[in-house]
Amino acid sequence: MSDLTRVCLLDKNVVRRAITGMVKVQVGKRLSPEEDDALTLLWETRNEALHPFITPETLNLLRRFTGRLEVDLFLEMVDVMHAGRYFKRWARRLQEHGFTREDAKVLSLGTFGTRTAGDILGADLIITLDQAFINNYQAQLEALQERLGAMTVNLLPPFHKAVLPVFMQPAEALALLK
Amino acid sequence: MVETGVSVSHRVEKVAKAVQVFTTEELAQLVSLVPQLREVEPLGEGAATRYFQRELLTRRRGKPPGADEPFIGGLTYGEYLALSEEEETVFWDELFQKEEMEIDDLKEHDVRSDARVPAR
Repeated sequence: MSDLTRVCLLDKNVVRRAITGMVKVQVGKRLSPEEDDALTLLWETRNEALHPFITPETLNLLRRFTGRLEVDLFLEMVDVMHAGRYFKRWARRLQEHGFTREDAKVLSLGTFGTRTAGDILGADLIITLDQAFINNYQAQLEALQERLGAMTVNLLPPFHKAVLPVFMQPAEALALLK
Repeated sequence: MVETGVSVSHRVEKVAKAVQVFTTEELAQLVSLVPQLREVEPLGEGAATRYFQRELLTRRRGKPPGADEPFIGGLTYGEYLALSEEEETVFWDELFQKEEMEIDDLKEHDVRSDARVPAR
């Protein structure tokens, strides 16, 4: 991963669109704009501008369907964002801010997630099509930044530098790459 | 002119300016005179689609998935493709629900002190 690579965590709705898009292109069925964006985003990862990650739960789900070529190809193109230290503490605090358990886990992974090598902390971007999730995040951004700062100020490296990810829809992430 | 993000030659820009004032009928005449226009895809568009189509069909030895072939969650490819947007949402929500874990069930992994942190 180069210094310019952006670590992005794909929400489940983007994963679903990418896999559905892969099915449709084989049978010549027209893609929805969301499916087209999800596939394009995945394709853009070939030049290392983005490094896509999925959650452990998405991995568990897709592993049940290995052998399906679309699932296999998708899994070849992504990495898994595991929970890093302080993930649980931050996720519980996010629930206090009104995030659902599911959204709290995704946002906490985006803040305190890592990969098997332990060489990253958090994601640059969370890419989602869930507008309610994005709206809740934007509405509380200031409070979340304050709360995260208070939680990390006395932590050891690298946790004291943990930052909130930026939320984007796939189309916005693609615009960023241009 | 629409910004496409693709570099365009000077002569193409000149032709495009002329074509932009054409009526629908004149555009149809142009396509009749230059039938290759029907076959051309805009630059930068469709590349991802073509990549996935080629890659998956190569892995399938050129044969697209059959409608009766099993896909995921107990559905065949045909059944999956027949789902409406709403049905597809419910289908995936149910699949994900089965894998949902409690926050405390996710194992925390070690992170190196020199780990990369997003720049802000």
